[in-house]
Amino acid sequence: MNVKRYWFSIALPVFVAISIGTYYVGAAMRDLPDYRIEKVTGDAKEAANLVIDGETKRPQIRYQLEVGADGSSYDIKKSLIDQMKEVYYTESNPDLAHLKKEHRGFTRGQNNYSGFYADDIKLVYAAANRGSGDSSDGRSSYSISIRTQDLKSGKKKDFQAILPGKPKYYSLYVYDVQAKGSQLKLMAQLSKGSAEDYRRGILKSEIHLYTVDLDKEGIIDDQTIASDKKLEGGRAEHFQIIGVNADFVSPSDYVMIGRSLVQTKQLSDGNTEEIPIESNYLAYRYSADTLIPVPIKASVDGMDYPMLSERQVITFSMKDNQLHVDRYDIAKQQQGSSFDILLSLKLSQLSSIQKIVYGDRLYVFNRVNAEYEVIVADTTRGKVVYQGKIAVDGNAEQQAARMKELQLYGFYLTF
Amino acid sequence: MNRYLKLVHWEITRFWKMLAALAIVTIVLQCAGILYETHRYASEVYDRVESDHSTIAAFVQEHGKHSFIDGLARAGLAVYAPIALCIGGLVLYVFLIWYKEWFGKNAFIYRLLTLPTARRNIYFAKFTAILLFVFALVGLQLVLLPIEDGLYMMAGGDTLFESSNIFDLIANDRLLSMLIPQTFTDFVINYGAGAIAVFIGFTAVLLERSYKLKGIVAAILYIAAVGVFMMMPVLLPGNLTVTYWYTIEWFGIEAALGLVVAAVTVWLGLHLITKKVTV
Repeated sequence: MNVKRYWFSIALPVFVAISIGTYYVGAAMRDLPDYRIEKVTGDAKEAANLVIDGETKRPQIRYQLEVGADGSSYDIKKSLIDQMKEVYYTESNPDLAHLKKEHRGFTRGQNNYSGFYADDIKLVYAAANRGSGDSSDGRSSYSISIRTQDLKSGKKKDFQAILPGKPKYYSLYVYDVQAKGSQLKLMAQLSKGSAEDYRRGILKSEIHLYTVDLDKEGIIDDQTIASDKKLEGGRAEHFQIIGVNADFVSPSDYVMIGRSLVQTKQLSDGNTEEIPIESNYLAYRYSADTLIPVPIKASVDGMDYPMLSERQVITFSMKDNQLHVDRYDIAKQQQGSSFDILLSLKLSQLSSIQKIVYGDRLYVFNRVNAEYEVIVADTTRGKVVYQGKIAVDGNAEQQAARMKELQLYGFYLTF
Repeated sequence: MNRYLKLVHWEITRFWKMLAALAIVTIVLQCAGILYETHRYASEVYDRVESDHSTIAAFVQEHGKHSFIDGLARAGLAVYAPIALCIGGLVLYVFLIWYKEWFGKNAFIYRLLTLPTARRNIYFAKFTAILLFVFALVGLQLVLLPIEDGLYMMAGGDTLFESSNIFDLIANDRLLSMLIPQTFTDFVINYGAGAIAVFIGFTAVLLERSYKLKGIVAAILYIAAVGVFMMMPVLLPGNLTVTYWYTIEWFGIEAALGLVVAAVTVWLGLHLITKKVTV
């Protein structure tokens, strides 16, 4: 072969292979800062499933990353396929991630994440469906899609449950699902009112408990648990179902409901403004069919939600540089023992502390300026079982610079 | 194999001058644009510092150094126009690589189709050549960026300007990150889709060459059919992309449909060139 004659045809693919190959080998081998959750005290296994997401801010460029006990994972190093495999919310909630991995077919196409229920016997999914073609005044008739799967026989059921009396609502959302025998209990929140109320934005919200009979494939009971009320002196009472525990797919006897009292004020443009006066909480107990007052402190705006761990309601407050954790036993209707978590970061504020309750564990992610700490506590024993910090590789100077580039937003648990 | 490689060589030989011209235009325009913008920015800063009775150090303290990422963004048209020219040129050449055989100075198609080799070699040689030209220009851009970064620093100095990492640079630029995706898997996906588009272009030309006016209609219908076929998951009743498939499954289905389109298109193209194209 006359190489001289073919030199360009040989050189061209060689150039392509070297230039593109070198770039992609370099991209794969790229040494980006490796941030990790590092144990300070306790059992490292406690933080094994924790992931903190955020970004590194270099001049002109930001890289999204996730930090865990094993190190960092950068979005830029993930292919399109890798990114598609990660469906953010379902992967970031341990219950949903578990459900999705174990029962992929059942969770397929189901987007109402609070509508899942799983126990050892069956899987359930419920979601409200807005009827089409009948919303001339903004209201629609709703049905509820029910899907079940018996885990032993594998038998599936799929049907539409029509609401008794076919009422029309502005919205309907299923917040919690529980199963007992051949019956399902669906806790749902809906909004209703006149066209004028809709225009003025003062729709009335109601919390309903629907009982579904799986054998009859329909709703056999519709019970109103709480509903918004207009009170004397321009005051009003609102109710809202609160989803605050990460293990919401698992069976639970309680649902937390927030009650807020507001002062309504008519504005000159015809709209209404609501000024919060007080907030408090109630718990609905499925087994007793009762609404139980939960006498815990609540912020007036109701934004700092309490958390539910089985039958305990957990609330937080700051005491000096300690996170004060109060527990209230709903079943016994009495205050449980409280405990304090000493925060290592000075000037910590409750508003910048993120919390997750999963099973008997309380996970805390605290951020003060560019410093971060992670704490895991056992809520039954009231004891800190893990304390960690964010660390990065490199020498002291590099570490300082890299920590300055890091901005973490929030954390979640993986399965 | 030998005949196929010789045909690839032949295709490269016929296009190398155009490829070189595109490369030179890219090199000259991009480098000139970077140099011009470097000087322009420097003089803007010097003017401002002078009018404010300040210093360059104080300016850098306040605004930071001007990175190559900024420089590339400022050079704008000078960087992107040659890239667009290369893309346009190569898209056009997907068609010209066939039509030049009929409409060139000497209608070469007579000799080409009577060569003692399978006609599929002609088809795949042209396809290989197109891919090589595309990758050569992508490779050129990858080699050029660090050179331009060096040029930027050489022209501006490190008091006011700072170098940028090539990976940061590409990730930060929408056009460049489309041409040079973040991972090799994405590169294969993007250029795999591009390769299927080249096959479709080839089949359209061969349809036209085989059946003339009717062939044009057939080519339009074929392209439309491919479009509908690829959109089938979206067009199916029940909004299955939302209500049934996971994103990764949808992608898998699209990839499978793409492979079916590629196989049918290549088969049709080979059928046309072996059985229908006559001179």
